[in-house]
Amino acid sequence: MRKAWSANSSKGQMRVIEAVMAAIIVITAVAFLYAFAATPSSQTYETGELEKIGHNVLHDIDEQRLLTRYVYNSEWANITAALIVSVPNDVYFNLTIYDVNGNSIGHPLIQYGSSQVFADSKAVASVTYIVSGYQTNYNPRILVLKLVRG
Amino acid sequence: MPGEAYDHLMAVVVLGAIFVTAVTVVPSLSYVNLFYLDQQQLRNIALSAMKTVLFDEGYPANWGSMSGLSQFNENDVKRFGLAVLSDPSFYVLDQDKVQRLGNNPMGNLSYQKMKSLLGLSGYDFSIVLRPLFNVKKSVSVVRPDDSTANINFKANVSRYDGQPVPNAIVWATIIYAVDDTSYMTYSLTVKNVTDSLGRSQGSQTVSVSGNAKIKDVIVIFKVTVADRSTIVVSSQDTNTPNDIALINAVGDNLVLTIPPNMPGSNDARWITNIQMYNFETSVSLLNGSGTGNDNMMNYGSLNVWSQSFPGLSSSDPGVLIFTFRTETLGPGGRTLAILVGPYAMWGNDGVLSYNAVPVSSGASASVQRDVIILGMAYVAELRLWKT
Repeated sequence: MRKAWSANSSKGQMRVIEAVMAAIIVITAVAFLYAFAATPSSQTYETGELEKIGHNVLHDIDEQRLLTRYVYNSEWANITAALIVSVPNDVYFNLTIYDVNGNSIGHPLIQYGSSQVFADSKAVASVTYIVSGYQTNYNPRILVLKLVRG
Repeated sequence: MPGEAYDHLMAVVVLGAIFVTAVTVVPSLSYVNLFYLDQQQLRNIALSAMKTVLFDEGYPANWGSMSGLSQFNENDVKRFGLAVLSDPSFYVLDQDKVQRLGNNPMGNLSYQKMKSLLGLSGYDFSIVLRPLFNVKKSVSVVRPDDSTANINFKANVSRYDGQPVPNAIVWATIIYAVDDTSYMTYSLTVKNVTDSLGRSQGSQTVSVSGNAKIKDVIVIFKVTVADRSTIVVSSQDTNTPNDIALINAVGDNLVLTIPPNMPGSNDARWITNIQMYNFETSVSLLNGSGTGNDNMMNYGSLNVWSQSFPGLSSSDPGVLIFTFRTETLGPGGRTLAILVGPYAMWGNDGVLSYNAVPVSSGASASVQRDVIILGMAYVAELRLWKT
């Protein structure tokens, strides 16, 4: 009788240990899955949002007929100032202007934020905006605006 | 047998503890993911709502001005959007629709109605329209005598993060009403450039001859950075504009109403002059005698004044300057007062806030875009959070 009771006790203890182990395995599996089932990196969304901001700002400056004036009259300080006051506070930018052959037109650095900000950023958005010419002169320029959040 | 029962009891307790722990721990393990998901969902909804607000004309397409001189009825609006009518350009907003967001004496679109039209049940949102940059201004007027006024003004220009904006051009237009044989308003403009700390200041003395007296003085600042401009109106504190009349423009019509429940609102007031001013030219729209029933407003049957000025809305009016002959709260009897309108944004440092920004630290998403209203650049910001 004592032997049988002892055997039952051992079985019971084993079941507890089995249950604990099973639970640990299940929890570990779930935690593991959660850890790896990460949300798609927000960088994709972030880049998309920065692209929209970049296009919006260039479009609005163009809408006010200022962008072509800045570009074709080489008003580099003005284009920098206009972009600085137009982008959100935590956004930094770098603008490069190319001719139709893809060669930079050799303007001074048009940038807000240090180079380190661009180097450290995980998400850099790039917006391409084309202006066809100024007044009656057809002479396309390609504006490439890079944006990051600081 | 009792030992087995104890073992099973123990197993139940241990498993229960493990279950409770799992329920507590697992969600916290995934909290960051859930937070990102929540944020992303809010951002997507905010982007979608912002797209509707900026790119949709709404229905009827002219819902901002369709009521004409009548009271605006928000139930006539079937779809919401602020885009300007029949304009292929993006990000250009209709001033008549924007005016329906603020306190408008001719009726405005309520928050609940807009929320319903945007389909944002379960969420709350705020919309803010503000100038591209922050202009802190101050004006002081010293009057050595009735015919002279020394006006000192300052304008500090910065980004909204506090960073100063140097080389901004500040146009300060001083407008002063003169009590003479007629009641006229004169203006002069002073140009300044902000220094490296974004500061500008100036002073000007204006004087009149004979028995003429300088009454109200107001300064309007127009600030441009690389020719991107914003307007800020500064008022001398001798008059509170809303005590005199509420100004509304609907298309080519100007509608003025006497504000209810204001001190002195029973007193008669006359519109003696209306000017359209765009910092380059000034066009006089109306000259009144300031006596009798000529353009008079009064509590009761004359509490609304309206007049149509064909071509007003299409001529890019800049600002409208109204001169009133009215009672003053202090001693001295009737005086002249200047009001600038019509857009609500200009009465509050150029900022129009629609619904309050959430005060809690809960998750919210914000979308910001540059927009153009009446040729001026503004920033439109939509912030969204869960109810």
